Amino acid sequence: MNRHGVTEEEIAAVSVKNHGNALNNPYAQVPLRITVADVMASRKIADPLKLLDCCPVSDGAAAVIIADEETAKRGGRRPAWVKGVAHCCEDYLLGDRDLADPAALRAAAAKAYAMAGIEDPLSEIDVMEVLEPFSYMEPLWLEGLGVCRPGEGASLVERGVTTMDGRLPVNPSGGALSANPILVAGLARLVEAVLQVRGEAGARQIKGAKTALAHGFNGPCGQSHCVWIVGAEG
Amino acid sequence: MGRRVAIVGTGQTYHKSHRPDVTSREMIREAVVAALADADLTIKDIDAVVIGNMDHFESINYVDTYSVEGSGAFMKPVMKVSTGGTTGSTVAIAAYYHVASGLFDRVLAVGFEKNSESDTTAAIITCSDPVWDRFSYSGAIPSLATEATAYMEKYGATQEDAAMVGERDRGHALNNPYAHLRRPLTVADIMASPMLAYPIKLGDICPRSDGACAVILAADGIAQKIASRPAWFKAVSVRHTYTWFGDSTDYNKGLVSLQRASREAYAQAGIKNPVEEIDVAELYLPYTWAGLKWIEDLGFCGPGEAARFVGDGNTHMGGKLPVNPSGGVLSTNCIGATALLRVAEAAIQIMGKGGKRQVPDVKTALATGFGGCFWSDVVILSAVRP
Amino acid sequence: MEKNGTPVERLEITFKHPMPYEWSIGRYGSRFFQEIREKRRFIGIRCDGCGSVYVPPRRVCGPCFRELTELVPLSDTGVLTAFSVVNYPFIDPATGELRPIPYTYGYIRLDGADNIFSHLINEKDWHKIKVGMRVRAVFKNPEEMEGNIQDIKYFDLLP
Repeated sequence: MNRHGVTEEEIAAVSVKNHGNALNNPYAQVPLRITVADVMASRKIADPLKLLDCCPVSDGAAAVIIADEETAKRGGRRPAWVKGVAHCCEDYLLGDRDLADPAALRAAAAKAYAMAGIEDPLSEIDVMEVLEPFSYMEPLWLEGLGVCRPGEGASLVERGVTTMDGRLPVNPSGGALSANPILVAGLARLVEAVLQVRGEAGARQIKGAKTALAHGFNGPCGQSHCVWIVGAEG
Repeated sequence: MGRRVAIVGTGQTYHKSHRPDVTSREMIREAVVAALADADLTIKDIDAVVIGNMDHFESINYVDTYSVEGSGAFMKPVMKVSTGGTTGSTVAIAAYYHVASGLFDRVLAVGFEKNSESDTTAAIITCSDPVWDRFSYSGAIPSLATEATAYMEKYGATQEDAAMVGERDRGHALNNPYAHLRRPLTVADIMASPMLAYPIKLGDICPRSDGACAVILAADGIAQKIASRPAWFKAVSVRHTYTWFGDSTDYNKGLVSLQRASREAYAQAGIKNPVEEIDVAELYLPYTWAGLKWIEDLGFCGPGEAARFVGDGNTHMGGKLPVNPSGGVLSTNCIGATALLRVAEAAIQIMGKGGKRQVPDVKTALATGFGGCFWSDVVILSAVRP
Repeated sequence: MEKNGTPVERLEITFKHPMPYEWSIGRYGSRFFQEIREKRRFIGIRCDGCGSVYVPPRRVCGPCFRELTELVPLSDTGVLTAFSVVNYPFIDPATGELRPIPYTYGYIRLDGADNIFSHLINEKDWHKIKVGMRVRAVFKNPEEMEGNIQDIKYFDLLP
C-alpha cells in the first residue's frame, strides 16, 4: 500500500470476488455474497486487515496421487500433466526482506515457467489458484507471478481481469479466504487446478481451461513459495 | 529407478552436550561449511537443500525457513523432512530422490539438533496420542525398556549381555574426534549406573547432544568429477508404520519395520548373506538392547543368538562385521542429525576418510535409522558404481 | 568466556506459556468410554479384512486401510506383555509439572484383542512383575468418571 498507493478498497474487492466464487464450490467453507462496503465495515483485526480480509479457521484435508506416465495413461481418469514445478525460499527475518517484492516467488515462477515453456503467463495460462489467506496477498502474488507489473495487482479485479469471466480468472474455488486448513490450502490449490484442466470443476469450471497454475507458500509473509503448472496435454 | 546418485562430501560438528556459543543456525553452518570443504565445492554449487530436525523439541516449527542463513538455502529450493528419530536418514533418502529424479544435480542434506535448548522428554511425550497414550507415556526410554523386558523374557538374555553393546560402542568412540562421549564405559560401569526405567540404566542409553551433520549428494557423471571415491547409493528403504503404539509393540514379532526395510534393501542390493557381504554397519542403536535385538531383525544372526554373536567379537573393530566404528548413537545423539550421521559415517567408510575409525577395504556399508514409533530406514552404500 | 579469559555472564530468561488444545475423539472413542462407564468393560472393533480386534476401537484398520464397523465387547482382564518402572523425573507436557514417579508403565493384551493397550500397573517393585502375568483393570466409580483414559485407574496384577 505504501509503495504503490494501493487502497484498502482495492484489496477488499479480492475478498468480495473470492467469497462470491466460493458459492460455486461445494468444498468451500465460507461462501458469501458481500460488497466492498461490507468488507470495509467488518471488524478491524490488525490494521489495515479487517475480518473479511482474513481467512477462516478451518479443519480439512486434501490428497493427490502423482504417477508415472505409464500409470497415468493406463488409468481411466484424464491425467493433469505436470508441466512445471519449482520452489524457492528467501531469508527468514522480516527485516531482512523486501516485503513488497516477493523475490522467492519470482524465482520459483521463473523456473516453473521455463520448465513449462511459458513466456507470458497472462496469455498462456487459463486459470490460476493462488494461496491468499489474507486478501492483500492475491495482488502481491500475482505481481510475483509476472501477471502484471508491480503495483498493478490491486486493480486486476476492478479491471475485470481476474474475475470468473475475465482474461485470467484467479481463485474460482474461493481460495484460502473461503477455506484455510492452513498447510492443506496450498495442496487444495493444486487439486483445484487439476479439476480445472480435467474439465471437472462443475459450477466453478472455467470454460476451455487447458493450462492451470497452482501456488502455495510457507513462512512468515511468504518466505518460501511453490509454483505448479498443470496441463491437459502431456 | 532414476539416475545413479552418490555422496561426495560430508561434514559434522564436534558434538557436545551444550553449545551455548552458537544459535542452531550457526551450528548448522559449521556442518555445511565442513561438507562443502570436504567436497571442494561452494554453496553456489548446491541446487537444493533438504533439512530436518525434531521441530517440536526446540519449538521452532518451520525449521526449513528458520535456518536459511545457516543451511545456505537462501534463494534456493528448500524442503523440510521431519519423521521422528528417522529424520536424518529420511532426509538423506529424500535428498537421494531429489537427485535421482533428474531435477537436481547437487543436493545438500542437513540434520541437526540443539538438544540443550529443548525439554527432550516432554517434547517426545507430545508425539504420543493425546487421548489414549500420553498420560502413561514418558518418552523414549520406558517404551524401549518394555521391548527389553520382552526380549529378556523370551530369550533369557541378561542386562550384562546388553551392556556389551555399550562397552563396544563407547570404546569405538575413542577413535572418533567428533563423538560427544569419548570416555570408555565397561560392562561393570554400566551395571553400576542408576536405573532409569527397569531394565534401562543410565549407561544403557544414548546421551543428549548438540550437533549438526551435512551430506552432499551428486548425480552420476557429476559425482565422479567431485570425489575420487564417491559413495554410491545401492539401496534405500523406508518403512514407517503408524503411531498407535499398541499396534506396533507386539514384541514377539520383533522390530517389523526393520525386518521389512532391510529385506527390501538387501533385495535391491542383491545381498543374500549380510554378514558376508557387508563390510561395515552404522546402526541407529539408541540403547544397548537394540544392539542385540535389532541385529537379529537385520538378519546378522538368528533369533536369540545376538548375545553370542556380539560376545564373540563379530561386531567389534577387526571382527567380521564391525558395527558403529563412529561410536554410534550411544556416544552421540543430536537427534535430527543422528540418523544422517549413520549415513555420513557409512559414506566416510566407503570414501576411505575414516582416519583412526576406518575399517579396512570397505566396499559395502549399511546405515540404518530408527524412530520412536518403531519406524525404520535402511540405506546401503557402495564403493562400486551400481 | 571472553577471549582474554574473563568469564562472561550468561543471561537467561525463563517463561512459561500454556498452549491449549482440543482433540476430537471420534465416535468409537466415545463408545469406548461409554462402555466403561455403563458396563465396566472394554470394547474393541474387528477388521473384516485381517480379522484383528483393536482396542481402543477406531474407524480404520491401518494395515488393511479398511473402514471398521463391527464392535466387539471384551472383558476387563488381559495379559502383561511388557513393562517398565519409570524412575527418572520429567515434566509432563499436559500439566507443566513433574509427573509423580516411580510409576509402572505396562503393555497389556486384553483378552479378545489382538493389539496392545498401554496403561499403568499397580505395582512399583519390578522384582514382583513378570511378563506373562494376568492383569485386571480397576475403574473409577461411575460418578467420578470424566470420559477419559483415567476412568481406568490402573491394572492390578493377578496372583
